[in-house]
Amino acid sequence: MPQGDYIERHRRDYGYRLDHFERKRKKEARQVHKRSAIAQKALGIKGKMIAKKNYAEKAQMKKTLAMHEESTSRRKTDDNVQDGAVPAYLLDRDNTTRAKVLSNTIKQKRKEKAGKWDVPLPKVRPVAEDEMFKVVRTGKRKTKQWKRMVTKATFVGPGFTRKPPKYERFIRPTGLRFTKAHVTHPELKCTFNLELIGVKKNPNGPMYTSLGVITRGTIIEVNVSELGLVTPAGKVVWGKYAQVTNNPENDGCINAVLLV
Amino acid sequence: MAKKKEKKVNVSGKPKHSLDVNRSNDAKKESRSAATVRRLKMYNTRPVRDRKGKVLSHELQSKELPSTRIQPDRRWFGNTRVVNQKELEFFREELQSRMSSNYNVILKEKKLPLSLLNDHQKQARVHLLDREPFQDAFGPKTKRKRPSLMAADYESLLKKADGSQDAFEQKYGSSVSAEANDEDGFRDLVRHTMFEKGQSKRIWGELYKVIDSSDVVVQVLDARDPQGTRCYHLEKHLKENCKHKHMVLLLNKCDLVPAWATKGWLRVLSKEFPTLAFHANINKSFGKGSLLSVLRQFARLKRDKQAISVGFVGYPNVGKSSVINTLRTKNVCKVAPIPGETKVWQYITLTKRIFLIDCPGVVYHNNDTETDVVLKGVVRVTNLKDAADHIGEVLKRVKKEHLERAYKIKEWDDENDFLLQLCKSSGKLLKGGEPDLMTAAKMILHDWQRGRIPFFVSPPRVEDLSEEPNVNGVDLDDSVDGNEASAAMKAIADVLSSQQQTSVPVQNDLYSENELKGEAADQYPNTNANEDILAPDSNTSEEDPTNVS
Repeated sequence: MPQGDYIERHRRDYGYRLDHFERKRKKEARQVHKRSAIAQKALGIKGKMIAKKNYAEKAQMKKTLAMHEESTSRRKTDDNVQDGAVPAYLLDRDNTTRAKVLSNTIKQKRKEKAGKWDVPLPKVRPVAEDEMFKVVRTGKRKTKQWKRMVTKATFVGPGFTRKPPKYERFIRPTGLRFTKAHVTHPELKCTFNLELIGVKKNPNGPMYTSLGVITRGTIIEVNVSELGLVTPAGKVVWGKYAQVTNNPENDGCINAVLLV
Repeated sequence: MAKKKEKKVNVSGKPKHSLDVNRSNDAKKESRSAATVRRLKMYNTRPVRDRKGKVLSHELQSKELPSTRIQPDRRWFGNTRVVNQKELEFFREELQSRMSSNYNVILKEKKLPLSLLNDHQKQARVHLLDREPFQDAFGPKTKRKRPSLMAADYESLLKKADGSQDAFEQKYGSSVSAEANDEDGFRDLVRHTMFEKGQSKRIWGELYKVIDSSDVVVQVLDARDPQGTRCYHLEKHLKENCKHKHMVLLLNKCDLVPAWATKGWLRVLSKEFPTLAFHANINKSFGKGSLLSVLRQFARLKRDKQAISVGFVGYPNVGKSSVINTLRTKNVCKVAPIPGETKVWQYITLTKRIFLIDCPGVVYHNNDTETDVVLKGVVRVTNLKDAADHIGEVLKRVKKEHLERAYKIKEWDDENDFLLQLCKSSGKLLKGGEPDLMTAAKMILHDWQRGRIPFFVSPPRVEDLSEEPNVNGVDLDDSVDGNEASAAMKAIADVLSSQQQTSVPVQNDLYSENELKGEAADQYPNTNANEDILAPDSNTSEEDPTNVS
């Protein structure tokens, strides 16, 4: 017997220590933290070697997990063998099931479709209510605080008339009302001054859409009869959507991109 | 933000108190509706504070940030409004035939492609080939050798410049007179700020607030001087920028002028806007029924709205607040016989569907002299420091017999002599028996403003003396069709024509018998005065000496 095997001989003759297995389990659990501390403290070439070894282990682990999670639809069909003989020039071909073909078709379609119907600004900075509205104090002693002044650019229709003062809660100043917008055609690379028809969607909420508030990212409807667009059926197009790209309340004008 | 629905504490549906929102919307009951109760509770919304006064929450003032993601959708990239070629032709023909009339309106302008119907003329084509065709620039017959300038050499350029300078001096002769004034060493006096009444930024802010809140704008004119008290800038603004609002002219104080003058002005002004005659008096008014009928027709025209607002605008001291008091048959607006009593806009309820808005008097900046401003009634007479300077114009505009009857003065040489005699007869004397010309002049101007001295501007003479009612653009013989809009406008035209045929009451002892029937007797040798009066830019007051009858 070699001289160094006395530990094994002692365990065989007299048994293990009573908390041996618990201590071993805990030591293995703490091994992760110990190894991480060593990886963080190592400097120079020693650190590079440790990082390389850890990366190789991680990649191997990922491949192992992926191998276990492989779908059954990707298996090769080796079970059913034809009765007739396979010609020699077809022996190298791998047979796959139909499920994989359908899966590939769906994946290709999804890839083509992703991002196609996105507007130029899918997400903009949100505007809170205290920034959108300003409290207007009315009455003889200025205690009535139920009126709100809209502090952003607005669009009111051609037939707009203000409500009586006792029924009007949201006041839209005339200085912040707009009737035209600078709309850029993204393919023609030219800009037109078009009239607004309406406000379709304000990203901050449907209440602002109904009030006609125009902020950055708002979808507006513009009068495109100047562009001379015609449908394939021969009809004249005079309304299209555009998205606002600037802050109208700061710049004093509305810049938008036509959605084509 | 959806309406916050209160939790149902009361199951039986009977409200516990007057501000309980849980109530049925039964129309038979005379109690408040749920919408009214919600609105009344909205008036009392205030910020919620803690014990130390810090604001915890305030309605519509939260700091929460909403989600601003726009869902990708293929409908963003399609066409929203498409029109057919046949429909386009139909719209163009209909618009050509109907928009020329003053009494037709477009109810829903948003649904029509108006920009496709109107052809733009501002994008004129550059006629490059007309100036220089291709043959002159290219090919064997080329002729272009040198650039074409305004002048070939220095002398011809000098002559052309002198010619342009002479043409400019011919066109703007007033600047030459201004230069002459500078050479004399005299300049025009800086006008006192009291003659800028009705032109301040605050007053015009009130006016634009009233216009913004009105569906119908009633411009109140003084029947004694209708063209002088019109606001052409406001009419142009309404025609260009507010096509959906209607303008109605109201000739107030028609009891101070003869009936034929009122009818003449009604005929002339009805060509532009619907025009009514009015006498603003709570007990003995004229034209109140006609005005109420017209307003009801406008409310019927805008049936899709819950209520309409009627704004009363015009010059100071034409009686806008008095008209509103007459319509309400009680004193709801403060009135006074001096200009500038109404200072802010006021909102008055006439019926459930008609609101009235009172506006302070507005004056658009024009070339009126100080005397014109005073005689129109814009300035308060008590604030004048040189009231005697304007009496000469009064003596020129008023007939001699009216002045004799009003002040018992038979003969006078000039305005100073007239004032001297008036001071003696009325006892307006200073210490030592010196006549007080200032007080006497103010007395005369007060009588002028309040209508005690009769004066009016005659309407321009019409070539055909037919008495047919003249309402533009409406064929009265048409049968009533199913269109509600045209039916409402036809009813308005009926009201206007019926008022033109009614006899207008005139105040007693104001005019003599000859003047009341003196329409045919007034023959003016100068026929150019009619064209001057009809021109919108002419100064009507300067033509008054030739038209005073």
